[in-house]
Amino acid sequence: MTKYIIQRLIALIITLFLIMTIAFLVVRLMPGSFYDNQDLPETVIQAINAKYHFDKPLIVQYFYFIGNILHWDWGTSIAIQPNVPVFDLLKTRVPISLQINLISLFISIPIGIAAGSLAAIKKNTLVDHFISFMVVIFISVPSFIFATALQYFLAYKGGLFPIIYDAAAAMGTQKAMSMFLPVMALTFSPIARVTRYLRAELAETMNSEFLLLARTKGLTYRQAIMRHGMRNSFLPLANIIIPMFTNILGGSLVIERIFSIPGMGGMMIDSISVSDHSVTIAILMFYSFISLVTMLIVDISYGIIDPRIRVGGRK
Amino acid sequence: MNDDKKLLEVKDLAVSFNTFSGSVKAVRSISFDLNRGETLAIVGESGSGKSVTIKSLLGILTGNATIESGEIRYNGDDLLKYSESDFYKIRGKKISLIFQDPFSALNPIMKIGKQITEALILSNNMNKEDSKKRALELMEIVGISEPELRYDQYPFQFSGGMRQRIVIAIALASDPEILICDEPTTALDVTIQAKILKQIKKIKNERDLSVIFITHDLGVVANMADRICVMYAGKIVEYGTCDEIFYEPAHPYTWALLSSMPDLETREKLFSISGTPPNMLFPPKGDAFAQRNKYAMAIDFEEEPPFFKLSETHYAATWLLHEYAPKVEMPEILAKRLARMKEEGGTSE
Amino acid sequence: MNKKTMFRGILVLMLLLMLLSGCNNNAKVEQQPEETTPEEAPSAASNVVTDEGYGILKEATTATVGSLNPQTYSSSYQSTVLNRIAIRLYAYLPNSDYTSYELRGELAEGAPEMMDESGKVWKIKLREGVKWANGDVLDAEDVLYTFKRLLDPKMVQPRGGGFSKDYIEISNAEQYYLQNGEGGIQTDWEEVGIKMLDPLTIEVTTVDKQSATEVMSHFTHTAHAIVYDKLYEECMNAEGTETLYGTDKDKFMSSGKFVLENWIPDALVVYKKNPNYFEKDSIKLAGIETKVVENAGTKMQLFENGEIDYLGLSTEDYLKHDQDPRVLSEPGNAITYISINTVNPDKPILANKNFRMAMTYAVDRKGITDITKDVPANYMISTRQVIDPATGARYRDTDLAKANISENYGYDPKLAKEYFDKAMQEEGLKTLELTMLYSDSERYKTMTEYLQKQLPVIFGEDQFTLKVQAMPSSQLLSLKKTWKKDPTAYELTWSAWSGNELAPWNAMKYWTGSYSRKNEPFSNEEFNNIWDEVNFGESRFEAGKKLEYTARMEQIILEEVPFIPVAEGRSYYLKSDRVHLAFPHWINKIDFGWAYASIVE
Repeated sequence: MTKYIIQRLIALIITLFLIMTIAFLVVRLMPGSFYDNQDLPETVIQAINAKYHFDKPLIVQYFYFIGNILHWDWGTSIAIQPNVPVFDLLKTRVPISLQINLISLFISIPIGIAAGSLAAIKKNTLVDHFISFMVVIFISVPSFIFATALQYFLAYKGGLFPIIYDAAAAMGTQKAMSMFLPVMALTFSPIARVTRYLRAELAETMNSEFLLLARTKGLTYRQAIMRHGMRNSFLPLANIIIPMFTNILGGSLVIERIFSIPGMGGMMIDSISVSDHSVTIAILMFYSFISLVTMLIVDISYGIIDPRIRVGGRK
Repeated sequence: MNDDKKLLEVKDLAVSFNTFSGSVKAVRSISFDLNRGETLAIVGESGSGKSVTIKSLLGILTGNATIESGEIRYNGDDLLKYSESDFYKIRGKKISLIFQDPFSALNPIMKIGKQITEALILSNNMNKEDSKKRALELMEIVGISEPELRYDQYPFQFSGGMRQRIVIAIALASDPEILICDEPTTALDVTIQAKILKQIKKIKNERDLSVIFITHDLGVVANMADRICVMYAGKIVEYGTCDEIFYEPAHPYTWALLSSMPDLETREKLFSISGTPPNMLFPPKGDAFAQRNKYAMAIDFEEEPPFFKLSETHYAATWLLHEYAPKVEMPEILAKRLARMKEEGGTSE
Repeated sequence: MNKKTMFRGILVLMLLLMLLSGCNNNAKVEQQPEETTPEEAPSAASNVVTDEGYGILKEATTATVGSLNPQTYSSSYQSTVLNRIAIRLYAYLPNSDYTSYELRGELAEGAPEMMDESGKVWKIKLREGVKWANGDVLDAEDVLYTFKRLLDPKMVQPRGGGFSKDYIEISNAEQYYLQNGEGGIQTDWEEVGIKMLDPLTIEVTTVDKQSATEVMSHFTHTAHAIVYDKLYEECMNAEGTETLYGTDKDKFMSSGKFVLENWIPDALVVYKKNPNYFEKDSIKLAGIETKVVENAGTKMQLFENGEIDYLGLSTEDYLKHDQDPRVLSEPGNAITYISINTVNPDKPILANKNFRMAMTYAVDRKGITDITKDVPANYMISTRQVIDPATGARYRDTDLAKANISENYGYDPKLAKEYFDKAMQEEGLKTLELTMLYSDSERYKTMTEYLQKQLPVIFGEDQFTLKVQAMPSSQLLSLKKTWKKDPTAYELTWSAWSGNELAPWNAMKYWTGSYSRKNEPFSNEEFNNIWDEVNFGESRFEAGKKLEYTARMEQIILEEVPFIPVAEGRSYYLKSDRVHLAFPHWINKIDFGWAYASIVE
């Protein structure tokens, strides 16, 4: 098991390195520079290019870049927040996006599990049909439509929640209220996915022999479902929940715009628009890192949770 | 073989299933008894209704099943009228079931020790230590070596035969009266089969169980059963003691079954019954076996034959036994074979 | 069980992660009024004290400010923010009766004094008693420090170029600034034409003769605002190439009309009135709160809820409110025009003047602007541009300017067809297909598609087709400038030009032959000569000369048709009743003067 983890970590580093190189190439090859919107005389442009090594061949720039990375220097932003080290920039923005996403994920999972289990147990009844219907809606309708609707009806017309996210307040009821709507808008899709998945899994498990055996040996219906049905259905759940995290991170961009949340989603797009290369690359790397790490966690989690792999592997 | 008391009485049980295509009549009015301390074998092809019968005993039929009629008398109650909570009192504790496929009967990600003690803790309210002790005992009884070590292992770490033993251990955990075995050896290879069967017999004798044994394999039955019921298309066609069924079979279906047992002594072609069991959506008029029956008469297609008595314990439902029917003897090959068997040593010990 | 505790541990960990991940340095613990009744509109962090009974102006912007360091000034919204909190030598401030703007000293006291007849040496006196927000003295030392850093050859800040040469050219400044680059000459700071004579006096030496107005104008630029040396130095990196000054609210020192109270990048800016500002009585607000709201729908909701005091209206929203007395209008800023790449080798007809004449007569400006709600423009200098900064007279109002405008908004389909046929004949073409690029916004899409439909109708369906292609705006911006290296970069596209409000003749540099960053190739000798004269020549000081030259330059452009002006953008705003503006209408350089407004509840 440890050997496996080490192998995967090495693969992860190599993959990140490749991604970094490709990201670098793509970003640098894009036309445009951060000073395009100013009228600068040629001489000044030359001086600036010399300062940032833009005038050197790409390969030389690449080595400067890698050299810096190895010193954990991700560069400084030159357009979004000039002179601010990229790492610090991310440090302020990432937690905000992260918080909203984590909370929404945290809420979606229990709700999804409850709904999915309910639908599976009461399969083909009205409850099941209703839940399946809601699932279809939540998956088909994009999250930002929900966001806009929530904002309009609950915040604006209803006055129940603040219209936008409160960036200034510290953690407390005020902040929580302002976070409520964006978090809610983000939960619809994950809830739908978890529900659908769990319903399928549990329905299948419920037809299995060992569940029958459980009832036969004297367990009540509920005990059998809880102890055998649920446990077995949860096993593959890690497979979809952990990648959902990466999905949400990417998908919250529009929600952030609607609720004026100063998160990470908008920064990537802004950095591309103004040709702030360091920021673009750093954010790309961040997303890649998260993706790869979550994949690794999923694989490892299987090794831990599923005894067939955990114990069987030792033989 | 003596009935000091009837433990279980099934009367006119009829079960059907609602499917998209219609109502499948799986069991069409059968009756049989289980006597205390005996092994009753129910024999028949796939689809004859054997499994459905025992599932209705325990109330674990699927949702689309309807009990059309009948009653099952056990301990003074009619099991067919039991509610879920009533069943909870007898499942595992009074009547236990051993499944056919040990590979899927156990929860693959739960330790087997836990699977054995689960019922004890939840159903019998035993505490953890006692249940563990008992589980280890059971594991020894069913013949699992190194029970201490095996207690914490997972099903995939056991072979098929061992898994079946675990299933048996689970079934015996709460000390039931009746043990129902639903084709317990079908999924195992022949060498293991014998061992498992021996084990079951041993356990039965030690604990004075009554066993209902479902199978389609007559060879297995020969070893185990005191009495045999032969089922076809949802009905019992013949029943009697083991000797009677083996040496004096009266129903053409029973003949066919016996003929189709592989016999190493002869060089003849393996006999098989042509055709397939009928579609139980539309049960045929008359004798369901008539279509495949060499010896069928016109009346077999018209009316269902009643039970004809051959002895106190032996009944067969075939028109051939009617006084007006032509005298038909069992096929010669079969007769020879049975004679040989009789010589060699008889049936159950 | 081991597993259970592990599971619980993970749960607790996740909970902590969730709650703490939102914490950052910027979140202040606000004094929440304990008796918050549910009816109160939940206003974000009203932490600005209103002890004088003045109100707080609530704004929302789509733009965001990335840095408070004036020297890295890059986006126009930054000037709005910095002009409020960073003091400059000179600024456009309200005149005495709030009817117009006045170019006068903010940090400086009085106009620059010409020291000799060459007009190249100027003395600037600073006000006494000016302080930073923390109480430190703000004097000529800070000014020198600021300009030295602005021109720092190691830092090579983009704004250094503009400081060394723009309205005025400071002697040796550019040389000092570029000394580390290719062909650079070693220059000491002492050689640069900025000196401190005493703590309240500065002397500026220019390369050419200038006027006092030109000198003042030069120092009004947002990038030339004064920076706080202590923090600037503290935040300097080891190599001396970059500073973190202005990257967050603790690395900035206020000195202007307002003091920066709070800044959460991309979310919130909070200002508080600066009690030490020299003209503090002109500020009637206790503070300003600006939220960043990018979504137009959200902004409207906030406005109608009373959470913000004004907002810019999109075209559709304006249509809904056009009878509303609360609507403010802003005169046109930028001229939207069609750029023509006359050196494209694939389409030599673009170089044909007759063809371009055909195009300019074929554009139905009125028809287009009726849809987009802009102002039709067959001229190149926008309405708001001022020809005489002293009087505030607008260029477009003068007779000379009016003479440049042809009738019917320059739309004449018959004439267009004539020119078109002529051009086609000259080029020997039977059919012509051109591609027009546009950036992905509703407005450009509307205009482009309008032309796509109409031009073939005028030129002949079988003879002319216009293909259109959308592109992200930043990509288009860069593409347009590459025509020098790759002449096939584009054929037709859109551009917008806002010029220079108070010096339209200066902004014409864009069309001179020597300008490097232009979108289309164009050079006209007479034009170049006039431009040099009006900006640097002696005759520019003569009365009325600037107007004459400017009008002639516009005339040349309209005759040569290097591009085709189409429309002048116009903006509309909706203001809430609780805000009273100090000015009767929109003023150049001050806009609506939100900073000078007062709140009447």
